[in-house]
Parts: sequence; structure tokens; C-alpha cells
Amino acid sequence: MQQEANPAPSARTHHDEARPNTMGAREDLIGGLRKYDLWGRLGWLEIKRRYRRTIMGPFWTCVSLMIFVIVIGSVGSGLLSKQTAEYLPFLVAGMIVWVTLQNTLIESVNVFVAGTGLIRQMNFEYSILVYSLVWRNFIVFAHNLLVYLLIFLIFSPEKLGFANLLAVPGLIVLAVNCAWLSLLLGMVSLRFRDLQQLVMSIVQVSMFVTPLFWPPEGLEGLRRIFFVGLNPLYHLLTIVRDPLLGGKLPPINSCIAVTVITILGWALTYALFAKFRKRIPYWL
Amino acid sequence: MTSLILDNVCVDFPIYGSQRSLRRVLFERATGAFVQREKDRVTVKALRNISFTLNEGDRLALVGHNGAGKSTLLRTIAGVYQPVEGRILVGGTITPLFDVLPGIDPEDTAYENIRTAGMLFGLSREKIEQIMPDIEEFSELGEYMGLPVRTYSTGMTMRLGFAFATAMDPGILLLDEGVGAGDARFADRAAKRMEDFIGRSRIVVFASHSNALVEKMCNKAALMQGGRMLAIGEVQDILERYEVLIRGGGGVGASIDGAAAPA
Repeated sequence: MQQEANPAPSARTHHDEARPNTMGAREDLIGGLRKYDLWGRLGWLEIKRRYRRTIMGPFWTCVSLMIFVIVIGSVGSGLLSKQTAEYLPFLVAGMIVWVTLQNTLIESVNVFVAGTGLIRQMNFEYSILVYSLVWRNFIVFAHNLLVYLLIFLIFSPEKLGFANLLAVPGLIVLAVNCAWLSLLLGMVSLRFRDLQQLVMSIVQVSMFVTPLFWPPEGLEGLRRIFFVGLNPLYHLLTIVRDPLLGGKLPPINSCIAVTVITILGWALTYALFAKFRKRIPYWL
Repeated sequence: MTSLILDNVCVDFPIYGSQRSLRRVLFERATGAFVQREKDRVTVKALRNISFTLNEGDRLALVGHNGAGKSTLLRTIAGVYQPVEGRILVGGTITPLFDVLPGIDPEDTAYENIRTAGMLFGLSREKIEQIMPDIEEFSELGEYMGLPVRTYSTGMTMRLGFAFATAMDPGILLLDEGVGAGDARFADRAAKRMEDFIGRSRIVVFASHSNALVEKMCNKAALMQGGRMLAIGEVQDILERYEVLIRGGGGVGASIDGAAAPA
């Protein structure tokens, strides 16, 4: 990475011009965000690479999601005694959000390991790796929207409207949260390599205990408080899913919960990043 | 003015995992650096109290055994590793060339890889397009430029990396040896281009095992051993001391006359 020296007009000797070649957490996060050109490109290239030499290209992810939704949807609507026409749209709206969140979490544990070559070569904004990871997962989300549109057009076209665009602010908030999750998991799992296994199993279990296959109303009492109210993944899911289900506004509780999660998550991540950013190359 | 100042720089590597007693022995043997055990944490003292100042026009060669700390020093100057002690002041633009194409991906074409690498080095899009014809011409890859890099031979990949790296305008150039150049015919052209490239840079720090290259390219040299800079000065003097070190010590952990014995 090229580092431009600060022009110092008042410099008396050339030594005054020289500045430390270090980078702080704030500089990293904000400077990295400004390089959208670069992380945007890295995200795109990764998507392109993944589907090179395939016929269906990026739409493979749509196909597998489609198969999943239809098969699980048929079984689930039977188990929960719901109409397939009612259950499939609910399932698909949740799944497209879940897949994004899940893949971000799983890929995050390797975000810095994957950037080893770069980190050992130059001093750059490590956050670029994080932004590019979140970005590419949202590109996949955009592809998966096709499955969502298709299912809704077939089963409940009346629930498609401009009000569904209320999901956009939710998506932005989700991306902001994916960024801290990714940075945090990337950092911690770099130092403690066992985190990878832990994240995998948590993600797997969460899929079933979060109201994804079943509506949150399906639980009552303590279980509801525990698996719905206190489940951060549920709140992150809901702020995007509810608007997708015919432009519903997400419950105010979830909005408050997500605000708290965003602030606390970033505060914790920032504190750790500020303290340990300089250790990252040593942990590789 | 371009300048590079190192002030009492120390770098420690904490070692995680692996068996403690074994790695302690191994590191002492292999690197000549000092492995310390502090409260259950093992650290390798990779760089000890390095200080020097380089000004515009200085071309410094780092000489020493494998594991003497040359590459670590280059990476520390590049800002990859932050020193635990001391500081580094940089006046100018640092261009680190350790792997020639950073972020290279074999699935991408040469064009794509160069654009990515260029952006990583902080070049603007215009600048990248501006140097592209030069890279195309010098690397002689022709039609291959549009094919994935995985289809290239090793020599072709090296030519591409070399052509890209040397097309930039370096301020402070950090060069690790082995930024190589492919076959003999190409090596000839590469040598000329390399000279020109080094000539364009304001300050060069160059780690090398080749005395011929050092004598040709550099006006200063520094001898490194066990993470310390034993001496810095005229190229001839330093190369002679290096000879003495090789013949006299034979091993990595040897100390030489006049130099502070590693404590």
C-alpha cells in the first residue's frame, strides 16, 4: 500500500516530513470503507471465480435454495399443518436472509487467514477484507431474491408491493452488523483456531432454534423468551423478513433489540480491534 | 525529501502452539535469534535495537545468513509488523516488493490481476490503465494476457509480476531477493529494466545474497546476524566482514570481532 507523506510546508528539515508507518483502528475502518472501489472489486471477483466454468453460474445458489425451500416447505407445511401456499413464502423470505447471515458467519472465521498473502506483504486497511466478504454475501443475497420473487409470484402475488422495500433499511442494518460480526470472528478465530468448529456448530443449531422454519408465535412462555426474545439472530432476521412478507413493519421490540446489538457489537469489536489490530500479522 | 528513519526498533514474534521445549531448541539452532520464555509465552526476538537513517539517493543492501532478520526487517519497514519497541518514521511512499503480484489469483486473467494489484498498491484506475501497455509489451505475454493466470508457465507468471512491479514509480523501494525474471533471454532485458527501476526510486532497501548485485546496485550495506545489525557502512567493508563471518564462524550463532556478542 502506498503511503503518501503529509505535505508539511512548515518543515524545517526533511525529518519533519517523516511520519510513523502505523495505522490505528479508526483509520483502518474508515479509510477501508472509503476504498469501496477496492473491496467492491475483490467481492465481485470472488463471486466470478466461484462460478467460472459452470453453466448456471451464480444461479446455482438460487437452484439449491429453490430445491431446499420446496422440499423443506412441503415437509414443514405438513408437520406444522399449514397451507403450502402460505408456508412457502414465509420460509423463502426467512431463508434468503438466513443464508446471507449464515454464510457471513461461516466465512468470517477465515477472513484474515484468506488474506495472509496481503497482510504479510503490506500495511493496508485490514477492514477491506471484511467489507469485501460482507459485500459478496450481499451480492449472493441479490441473486437469491429471484427465488423469493418466483415463490411469491406463484403463491401469493398479492404480498408483493412497494411496501416490501421497507426491507432495504433492514438490510443496511443487517450489513452493518455482519461487518462487526465478521471482524470480531475473524480476529478471535485467528488467535484461537478452535473457534471455527464452535461457530459451525452454533450456526447449525441456530437454524433450528431460531424462528426460521416455524413462526415465533409457535413458542410460549420461557421458551419463547429464550429462543425468540433473547435470540439476537431472530431480531436480525426479523427486521428484514417482516417487510419482505407483504410490507409488514418489524415489531418495535426487534428494532430496539437490533439497535442495542449494533451498538454493543461495534463497541466490543472496536475495542478489541483497537487493542489487537497490530497483533493480526503475528497471529497468521 | 524522501527519508526513512529507524530508531531502536525491536520486533518479537510470539509463538503459539507446538511443543515448548522442542521449539525452543529448534529456533535457537535455526535462526540464531533468541527464544525467550516469559510466563508461558514463547517469543522469538526477531529484531534487536535496529537504528539507521536513510536519505534520498541511499541504496542500502542487507546482507547476512538465512534467518538473520533481513526479510523481517523489510516487512517491518513496510509496516507489516509493528515493533514492540522503537519507532519507524517514513517520509515518502513505500513500495514493498516481496511477492511480485500481491493478491494474485490463478483463476483471474492477467488484466484482472494487474488491476487488483495496482489498486492494492494505491494506484488510481487511470494510472493502472496508463501502465498497462508497458506491462503488455515488456512481459511479451500477448494473447495470454486475457487468459487465466493458472494457464501460464512459472516463467510467464514471473514475467508478468516483474513487468507489473517495475512499471510502478517507487518512492521507497523495499526489495526482497528472488524477485526473479524467468529465462535467460528475458533475464537480460530484466536486468536493464531493474536498473532503471531502482534508478527511479528515491531510497532502496534490498535484501540479497548476491554480492555482484549488491556491488552494482547499492551504495551502502548492512550486515545482519541473529536479529541485530552488526555493522552498517561502505559496501566493500561490509562484504568483507560478511566473508569473515562466513569463513570464521561457519555457523549461524557465531559472533565476530568488534561486534557486540549477542546477550
